[in-house]
Amino acid sequence: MKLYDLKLFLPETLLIISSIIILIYGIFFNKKNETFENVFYITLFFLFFSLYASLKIIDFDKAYFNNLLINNYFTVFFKTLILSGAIIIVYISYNYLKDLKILSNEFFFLINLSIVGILLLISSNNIFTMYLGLELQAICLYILAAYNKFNIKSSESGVKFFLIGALSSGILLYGLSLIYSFTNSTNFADISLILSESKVNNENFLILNLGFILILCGLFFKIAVVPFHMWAPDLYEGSPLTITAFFATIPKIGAIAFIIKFLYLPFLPFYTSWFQILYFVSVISLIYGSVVAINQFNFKRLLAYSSITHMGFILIGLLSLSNFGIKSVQLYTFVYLINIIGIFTCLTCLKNKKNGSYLENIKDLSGLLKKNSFISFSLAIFLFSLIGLPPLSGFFGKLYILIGAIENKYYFISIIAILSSIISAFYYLRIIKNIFFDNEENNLISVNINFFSKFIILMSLILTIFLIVFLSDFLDLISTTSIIK
Amino acid sequence: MANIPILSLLIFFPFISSLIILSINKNDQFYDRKVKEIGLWSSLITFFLSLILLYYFDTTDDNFQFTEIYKIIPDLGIYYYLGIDGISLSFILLTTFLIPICIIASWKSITEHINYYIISFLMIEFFLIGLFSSLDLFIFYIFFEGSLIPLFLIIGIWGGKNRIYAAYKFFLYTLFGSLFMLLGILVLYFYAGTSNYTQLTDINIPFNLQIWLFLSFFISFAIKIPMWPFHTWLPDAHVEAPTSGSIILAGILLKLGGYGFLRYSLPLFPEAAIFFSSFIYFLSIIAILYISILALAQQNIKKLIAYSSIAHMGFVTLGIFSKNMEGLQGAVFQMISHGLISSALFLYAGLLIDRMNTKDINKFGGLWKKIPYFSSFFLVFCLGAISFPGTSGFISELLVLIGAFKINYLLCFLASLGMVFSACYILRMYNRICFGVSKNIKVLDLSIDEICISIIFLILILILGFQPNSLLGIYELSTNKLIF
Repeated sequence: MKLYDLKLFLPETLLIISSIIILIYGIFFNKKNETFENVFYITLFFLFFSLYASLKIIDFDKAYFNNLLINNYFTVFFKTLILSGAIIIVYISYNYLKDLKILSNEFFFLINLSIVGILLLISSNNIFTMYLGLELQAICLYILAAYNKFNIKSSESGVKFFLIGALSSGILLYGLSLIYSFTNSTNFADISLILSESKVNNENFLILNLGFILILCGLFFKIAVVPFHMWAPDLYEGSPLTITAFFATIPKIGAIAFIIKFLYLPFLPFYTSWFQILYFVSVISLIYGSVVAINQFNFKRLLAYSSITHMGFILIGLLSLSNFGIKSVQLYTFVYLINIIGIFTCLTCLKNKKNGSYLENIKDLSGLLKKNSFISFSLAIFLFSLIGLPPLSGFFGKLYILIGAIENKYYFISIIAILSSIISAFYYLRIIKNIFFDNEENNLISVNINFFSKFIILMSLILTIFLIVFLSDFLDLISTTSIIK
Repeated sequence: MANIPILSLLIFFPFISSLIILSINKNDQFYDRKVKEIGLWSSLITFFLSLILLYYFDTTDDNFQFTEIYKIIPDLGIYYYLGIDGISLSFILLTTFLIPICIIASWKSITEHINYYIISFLMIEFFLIGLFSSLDLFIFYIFFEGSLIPLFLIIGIWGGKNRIYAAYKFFLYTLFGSLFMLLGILVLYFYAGTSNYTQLTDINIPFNLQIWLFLSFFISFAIKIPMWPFHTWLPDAHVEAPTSGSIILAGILLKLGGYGFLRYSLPLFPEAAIFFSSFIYFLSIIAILYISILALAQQNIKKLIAYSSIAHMGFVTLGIFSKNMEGLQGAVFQMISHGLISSALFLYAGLLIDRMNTKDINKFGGLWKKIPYFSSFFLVFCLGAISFPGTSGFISELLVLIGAFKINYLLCFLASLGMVFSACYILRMYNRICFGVSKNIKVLDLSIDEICISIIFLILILILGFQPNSLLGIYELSTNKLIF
């Protein structure tokens, strides 16, 4: 290890430093009635610094720490997305958790550390770092899921998530060990080399395939696609609102980035087999996610099912094995992140007047239009965008995925994707119906928007509505990042 | 003129004025009034801009005029490519004419969230003008689909009792159709390597592919126009929509289907259009006859006019797919004339419903004596709807029937039966409303502004009826290009 390597590792290092500072600060300055303002600013500062650092690292395509990690434009894109998403989510969580009076130092610590895990995962170039990153983030997420310890549902979702997550990690690890036993290497490039040779020999192909499928299962757990989705609805419903926003975006984007890298680099020789698996998983996620969500009445649970559909869409983009496919996935994740963050920021502004709890049932939103038209129209635009109506951003996400699919003549899956969009339009419209068309039942909603929430909502609105204007610039910008080596 | 991007100006003017409405201080004492005035004035300015367009439009040139081209997504070859020919110009004029009418029609009746109401209409105008002037498939699709959102909100927020069901049905039906069109657009795009309309018309597509592409476009346009059996969303949407929502729906949104057939289905997939034409004649005849019989049984005034719209749209599809000069000209003429007549009818239905608080035609009666101005204007519009000679409806249906006659005698005979039926149901409606025993209710006659609007409609309908060349001259060359 050289000092030079540390420079490349700067974004992660900064976050690690930040989490250590938070822990120490918590030990020495723990007062009663603490507002955690300082910790919050420390976290934000380091997240911003880390974002800056990850953008400013100049030596791309350099492996460091003995080939354990690698940085390239591809990883930088996803790191930027994750860090900027995390900054917003930390901000809205701060207000939300402070309001629920369950804020503590540990929250910032856990968020920081899980982001370190995700960043490690994205830039990993080796089985060990990959597993390390995956587990580091997962352990933090288990605790975050059960963060609201006074709420029985939150604890339940935490335990569920832990059990299923641990199982999936075990499966993944077993798959990794099978792969290692045949390739005798942990480095992605070496594995790729050996696999492409062994395919010619075709001796142990079955067992290699088994290991590969087990790894894929473990990864599918992380992005919650059917049939590995069972934990997601309970987790979304149980955990606190902003932490759900975190679950819905940051770890999933990280996992998608890693899946792209994993399938396109070491397991490229297995293209024919993973193509079928992805195709199948994507089709059933599209159908299942959209159909089951029809009957959901909890906003967060509904978003869990809808995110299954969105993950199905993203997997279509990976099928084609082209730069265009990666680009479409990047666009889709970007759009998804904006819309989900917008929706959750809107939700954190709404409270029940009587008991001060935050609104989670779709029914509670009835008659919101009369209370606050800004929030109503913002929510409607985000939901219309998730349906995929032009000229909103969600349309372009879906358009690019479909362009990739049609280009490679995947007609069947495109028709399934279109049908699932129509079905999902139904349940998104139900939320809009509740907001706009229904009358308020017992006047329960109180709206409280602070300046920065409004700013965040406005920014996401602008990005959602006017994406068409700077789409070509955006695609130019990410065109270098969609090349994977 | 050449340097001013007048089409973009026309498209974005309503959009910008809706942004201005958003930025007004809400605590203002005269907020509602200000919003309405800004909406009205901006839509009037858009109308005058479109008149400038008409003034500079060269009717002797059959190419696309006022073309503008900017890149949006250069790596996919998607351009912001605008241009109009005679057909699109007629529809743009219809749109810009009807939007101010819609805003005036809802001046008093809409009280809640008036700012969003006006913005919805300006956004519809934005999408519709964009749609009629776009020459790139993707841009067309964006505008086509985008017009769903404002109308969904208009029906859902300001609609009647059963508005949620109607709004859902409208939205999901149209989304279903247009997503298949998106698939078709993508397949076409990859076959041809471009989404540019003028380049696409030069490309010969193999027959097998044409059939699939035609079907994917057909689902979308047939739902939008609507043809039997895809029509069931329309009566619900009309009944529940507020008056101006009905006007815009019947006046322009139904015409998107016909416009799509003329602009895309015929020139891009000519062989498939021939292949499917007898099938479409069949559907059109069913729409004309069967829907007319349905209209005879309606008690709800708005539903009756909605069914009559479907029957009239049957003439449009019949005219378009007869693919001869008279049929095509008649189809476009029918769309414009129906855009005026049905808007006037819905406007009057709205006035009646506001005054009498009922939609049931049996509960009206004897209005001729009580409100003579209303009844006489209403009579002229009803005569227009049964294509009485001298109104614009006569010219259009005559042209379509000549076109159908050239194809098949029986077709012409069956279609002309539709005219008889239309006289039956429209006169039945008029009879129930204006004649008969008068009920003991006090009803106000038309106010000055309502009379003004009625006179404008009247003049336009009569001008088109007596001087059809004033409209035919605009789009004659463009429809002649489609004959084969």
